[in-house]
Amino acid sequence: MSDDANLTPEQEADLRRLLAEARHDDPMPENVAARLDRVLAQLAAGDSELDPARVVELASRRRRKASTLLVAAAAIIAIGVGIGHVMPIGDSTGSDSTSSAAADTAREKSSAEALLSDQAGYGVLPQSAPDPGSRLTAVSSMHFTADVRRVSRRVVVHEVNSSSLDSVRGDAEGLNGAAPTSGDAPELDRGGSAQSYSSAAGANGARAPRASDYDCAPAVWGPGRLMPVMYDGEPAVLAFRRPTGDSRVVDLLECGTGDILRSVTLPRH
Amino acid sequence: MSGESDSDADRSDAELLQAHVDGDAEAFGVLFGRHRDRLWAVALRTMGNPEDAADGLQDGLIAAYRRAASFRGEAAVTTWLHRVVVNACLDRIRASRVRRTETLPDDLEEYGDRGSRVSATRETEDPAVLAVRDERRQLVLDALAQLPAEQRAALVLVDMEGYPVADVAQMLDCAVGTVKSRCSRGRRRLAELLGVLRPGSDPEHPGHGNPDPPESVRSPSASRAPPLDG
Repeated sequence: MSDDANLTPEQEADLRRLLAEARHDDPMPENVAARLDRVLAQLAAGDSELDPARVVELASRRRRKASTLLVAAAAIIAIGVGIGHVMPIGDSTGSDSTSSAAADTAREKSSAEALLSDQAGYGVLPQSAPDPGSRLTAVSSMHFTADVRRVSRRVVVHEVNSSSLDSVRGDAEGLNGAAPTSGDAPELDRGGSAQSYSSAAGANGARAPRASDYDCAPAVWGPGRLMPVMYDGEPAVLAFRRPTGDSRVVDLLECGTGDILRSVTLPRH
Repeated sequence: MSGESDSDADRSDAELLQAHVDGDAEAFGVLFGRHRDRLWAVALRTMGNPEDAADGLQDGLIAAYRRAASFRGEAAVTTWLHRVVVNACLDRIRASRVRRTETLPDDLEEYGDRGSRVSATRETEDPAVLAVRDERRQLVLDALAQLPAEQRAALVLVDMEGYPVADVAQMLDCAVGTVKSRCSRGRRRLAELLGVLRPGSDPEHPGHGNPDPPESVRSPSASRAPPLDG
């Protein structure tokens, strides 16, 4: 007896009509179309590295060893700002949040100034490099969308308005603007949220990745807010693209090439 | 990607695909642009949410771009494109081993106000009718999300998109009978989820109405009510 023995022809017709009515008739969203356009452009440019299967192969790839100031800049920005705001800071408590915030601002500014003053020091870590013991955000290929969604809610990263991180070096206002003051930026949590963020960062591995693990070669990242992350244990960069309408694309970019390893489309917060 | 010149419009899908294989850098973009909205719709309904649909469609796009030379012309190009995209989506679902049950309505919330075809006609319709229709649609999508991925893909292609079963068999790389079986099982399960099989159910309002009440629970203590006469 077939599985639909209890469905009369009328019931089956009703179901098929309901399904037909649930058909999606809207065109592809503009942000998805733009993302696929970028992928097509990469393919047309002969980018042999672009391969969806690489998502699961990434962990076995050789780590790229070239270290640079520019990607360290992204690390400093996110760690100096993100860690400074998201992670517990010293023994500060709610009673001294004002002084803590002031300390954060000073820390961010010193990072920015160190970067900007190092115009000739390409490839040299600034003095205000992140504490090697600071924790980096971990993103897993198995929970990519959930991880990025969580990060997008809690971490503010620096917005770069050009196609290269080179511009970071000359963008003092932008660097200082990385502080979580923009209305467009997600609000950073302290206290309990910081605790949960810390736990989340280490949820996918034996230990939370440290800033000292981050070794990422430069590349053209494209416009957007950049954030250094460890993707399945390998350094990578998350690029939060400009929102389009009520959504935004977040690309995971490979160190050294800027290739898109993964992408998600998230609602604009 | 979506722009198509007059010269491109004269070229068939098969000609564009062959041109791509022969090194025409623009041909694949033109071809994909022709079918992207339907491919998006299939990916969206198969994956259940716009984020994963975009990932699946991107995987399919890359695979189709690179495997174009493997197209033998045994099916229509659009059938082949659907096959590549649907398989990419199903691969993602299998790889993640995640059964999504709660995210199908996302696209209604996030993208429901976009596009011209729907919104152009909705303005002239009775809002009450639209509300009922949207609610009904969401119930169907919620139920669809609970089906196994293969059954869902078959129903999306056959009942939603209206492709012939023979074409869907090629898209899903299985026998015609398998497609029919998946559709039958999927419809049966949907009927259960939507309450279509419930006596007196109204197909215009699936899933509506109060559920059957639970059986009453007998008190373990003796009744204090006066004995019934007679």
